[in-house]
Amino acid sequence: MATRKKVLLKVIILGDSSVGKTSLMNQYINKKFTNQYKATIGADFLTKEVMVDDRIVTLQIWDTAGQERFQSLGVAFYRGADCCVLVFDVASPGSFKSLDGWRDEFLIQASPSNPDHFPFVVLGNKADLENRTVSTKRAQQWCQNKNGLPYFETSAKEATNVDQAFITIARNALAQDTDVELYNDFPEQIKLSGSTENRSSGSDNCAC
Amino acid sequence: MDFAKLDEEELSYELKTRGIAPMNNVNEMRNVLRGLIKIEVEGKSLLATDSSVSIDVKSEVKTCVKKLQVINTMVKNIKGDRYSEHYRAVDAKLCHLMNRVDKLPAVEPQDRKDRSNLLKGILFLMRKMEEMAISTTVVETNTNTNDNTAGTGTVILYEKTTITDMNSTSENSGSVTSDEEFGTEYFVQQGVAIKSLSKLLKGSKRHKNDSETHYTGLLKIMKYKTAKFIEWKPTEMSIFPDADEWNIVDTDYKQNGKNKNDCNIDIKINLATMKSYKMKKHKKHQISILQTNGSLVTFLFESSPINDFVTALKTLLHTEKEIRHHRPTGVILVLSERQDSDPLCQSIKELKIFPDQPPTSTVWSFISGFQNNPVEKTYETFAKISDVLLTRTPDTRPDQEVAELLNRVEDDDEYTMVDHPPSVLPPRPVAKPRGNPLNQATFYQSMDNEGRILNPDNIKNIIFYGGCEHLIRYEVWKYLLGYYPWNSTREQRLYIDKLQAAEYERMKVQWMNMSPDQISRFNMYRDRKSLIDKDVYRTDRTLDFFAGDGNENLVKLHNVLMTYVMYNFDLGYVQGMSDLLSPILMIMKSDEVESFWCFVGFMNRVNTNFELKQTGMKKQLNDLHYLLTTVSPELENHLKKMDSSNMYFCFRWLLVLFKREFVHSDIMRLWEVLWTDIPCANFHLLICVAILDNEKDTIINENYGLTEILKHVNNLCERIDLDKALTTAYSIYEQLKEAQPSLQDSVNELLGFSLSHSDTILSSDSNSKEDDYEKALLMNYL
Repeated sequence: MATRKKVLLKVIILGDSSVGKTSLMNQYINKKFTNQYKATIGADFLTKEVMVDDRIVTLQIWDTAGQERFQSLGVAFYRGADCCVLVFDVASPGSFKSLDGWRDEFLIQASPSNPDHFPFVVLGNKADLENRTVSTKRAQQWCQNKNGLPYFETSAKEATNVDQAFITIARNALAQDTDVELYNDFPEQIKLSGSTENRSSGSDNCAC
Repeated sequence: MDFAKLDEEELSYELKTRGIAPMNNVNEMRNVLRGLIKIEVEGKSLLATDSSVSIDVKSEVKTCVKKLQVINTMVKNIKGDRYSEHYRAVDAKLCHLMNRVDKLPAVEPQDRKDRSNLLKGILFLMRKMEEMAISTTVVETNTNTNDNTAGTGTVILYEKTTITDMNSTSENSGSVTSDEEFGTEYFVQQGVAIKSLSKLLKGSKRHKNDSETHYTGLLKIMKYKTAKFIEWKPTEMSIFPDADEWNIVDTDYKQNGKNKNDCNIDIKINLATMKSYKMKKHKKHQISILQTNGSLVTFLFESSPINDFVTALKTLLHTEKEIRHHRPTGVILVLSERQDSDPLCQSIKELKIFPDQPPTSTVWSFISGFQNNPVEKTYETFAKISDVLLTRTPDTRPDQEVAELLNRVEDDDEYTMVDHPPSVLPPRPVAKPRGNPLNQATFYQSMDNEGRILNPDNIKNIIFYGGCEHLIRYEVWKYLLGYYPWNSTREQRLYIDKLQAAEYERMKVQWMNMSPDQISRFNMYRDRKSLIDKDVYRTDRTLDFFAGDGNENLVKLHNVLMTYVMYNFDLGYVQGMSDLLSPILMIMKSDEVESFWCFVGFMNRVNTNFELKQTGMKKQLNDLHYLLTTVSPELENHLKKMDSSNMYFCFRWLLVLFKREFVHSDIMRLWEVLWTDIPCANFHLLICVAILDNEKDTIINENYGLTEILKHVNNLCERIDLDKALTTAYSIYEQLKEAQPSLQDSVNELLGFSLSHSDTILSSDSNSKEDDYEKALLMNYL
């Protein structure tokens, strides 16, 4: 797989409302923090070129709305994700409990080809807060139980661990990407989307 | 108040409350009161404020209830506009009642409850009167349309007892009655349901998430001497209301309607009148059958597969798949009935050379003709064949309208769309420049002495073309958002303020009194509260109004949103709502009560955007796609190619009505335009189309894909020229209006062009609401 073609890695950030998804993305890409970010509506993304083990890759980081009911509509954008970042707020036990739900939701909606080994990275954000309620140990335990997911405690506000976390995200996403390329050693353009048409005419045939 | 319209009892009450003993002469009382009111208008209240006038609460409540009922009937029978005698009489009586209820010294809980019910009743009637005053003419046309709908009768549908009568007038008269006895069952299937009949009668109702009423019954194909029929008789009834919390009222209405009328219905479809059918095997199998008269019936095969029925149909009919753009549409066209078993007759018939004659005679006349004059007959026949081949085929295709009707049944499949050839629109008219905003002078001059706005349509028109001056937004928005009825008097508005302030306080106290202990066991409340806490903190903080720590306005924002949770707990708080409230709170000068009720008015327009299943958003994105397909087929083509025809990139625009796309001053101008509902309720979709149309060249020329389109659209934030978007949207509206006859039904419906249709829906909906209200009133008091 020594291809030198440009690699685009798609990263999706998921997590409860107000855990700091937008802030993390902006801290990583723009090195800026403000607590005035509005609640994200719909979806948006930012891109950044990074070096991962002497390869240049473009990270396309997708920020999403945290309220669950808005998830179903944005599914189209999650397809083909290379890595999923699950974020919770260390001062909000509820947001930590939601991680399971977010993970399952992603696997269902994005339906990656190898769900058991799809790279997730877990971030416990707002680590700068003093009133934290989710202990590091508890979070690590959860990650351990999920096939040993990488876990970082970050602070988007103080830029703690953010770069490190995203480098790991990029590296894991790249590993995933290469894996996929290995498995899918087909000539280009096998259009699966065309099959809907065949199917519909097929059903006509059988019934009429 | 017009005392000439009050009766004796009312007059004496009015006098008593002013500390004057009633007189025997009605006219005298009126004169005294007129004199008194003149003094009162000058500001000196003569109303006895102390409770020196003792009132028996119970009997007073009874009197008021009776009056309310009387007025209710009067309102229903109002003829003429707001200046008519009749209207003014009701108005005066209502005014009197309002004063009276207001003065009810309600101390006991039951009395207070009665009082608040009475007030609700009065407010309801006030609004009802306003609606009447605005739409007197509309109501009249509505009744006509309703009659028409019933007259044309989209389905062959009749009560059991009248079958014979109906048949004698139908085409197959005479023989049918005897056929009834001798007909043979060709196919029988139990447990087949038919889709809600009201839906069939008003096909255009598809966009409402109404509950599905299904009638289960026995489906048969019957062969009689002269014709074959698909017959269906109900055996039982089953109702599947949607779990949609906002439609409960609608469901009730439907159930009642059904019990009254729809029970005894049979359906008979003559195979000869079948035009086409379409199957769906999604969840439950279903088949929709379209007749030549345009009526559409859908059968649901609840437990059994549909195949046997279709096979039976196919042995009786010649069919062909409809092809459009080289793809089957799923519609099966019925070419003809298989009349006879005689193969010669059948093949001759299939040629359709002699369309007017029965096949047997066709054969014989052909043979005799051939014997008598072989050459001529042969040429004639060949000529007819070529005629058939060259010209006949299109006749058997359903036209666009019909195809659409068939596809309409598919409405539970999200994003199912038919390919339509791009319609060619007339050139777009030049965009008219925006007008001047509504100013203070014009606004106040439009009121009569009592403070009623005499011509709300005129005011709305000015706002649509030019918005409002900032100074009077505080007043005007309250009308636009339905807090004040347009025809309310100053007196009535003071009253509304008082009433709604109390109502707001009542709901506010509900959440404020919740103890931490209580909250700890109230998960749903906690979730809503925590979302609000998080969002208030990050709503428009860059505006001075909300800037800084410990800003009082953040508390108000929080309070109003929390109270809305108590007002509509099922919907609760959803992200985006704080965006909608923030400008309102600013315009209402941080007044919680006014902000709250205006916000309620705004939410009533857009609450489907926020519902759990997102059906409202899906529908809007879908509707937007329809409009774009019509207005800008090239762009739509590109979107389709790029897998973007779900229009998701417009999600943010629609969810919070462009709140995130424009700066604060623009958003106020935009929203007041949208609240006028001019030229149609879906004008915001046309604004989307206008903006996208403006970006069309970039998107297509740069060959933007799914992600690039989203990025491009997101980046338009605060870079859109609002005036241009508004004027372009309106000229698109005019362009479409000109093309109206050639537009698809769905587009016409979205833009409110097909007046007869949309009026029917409007009237039926508001009727149902009113009926419900009346029911509630009666239940309370009788």
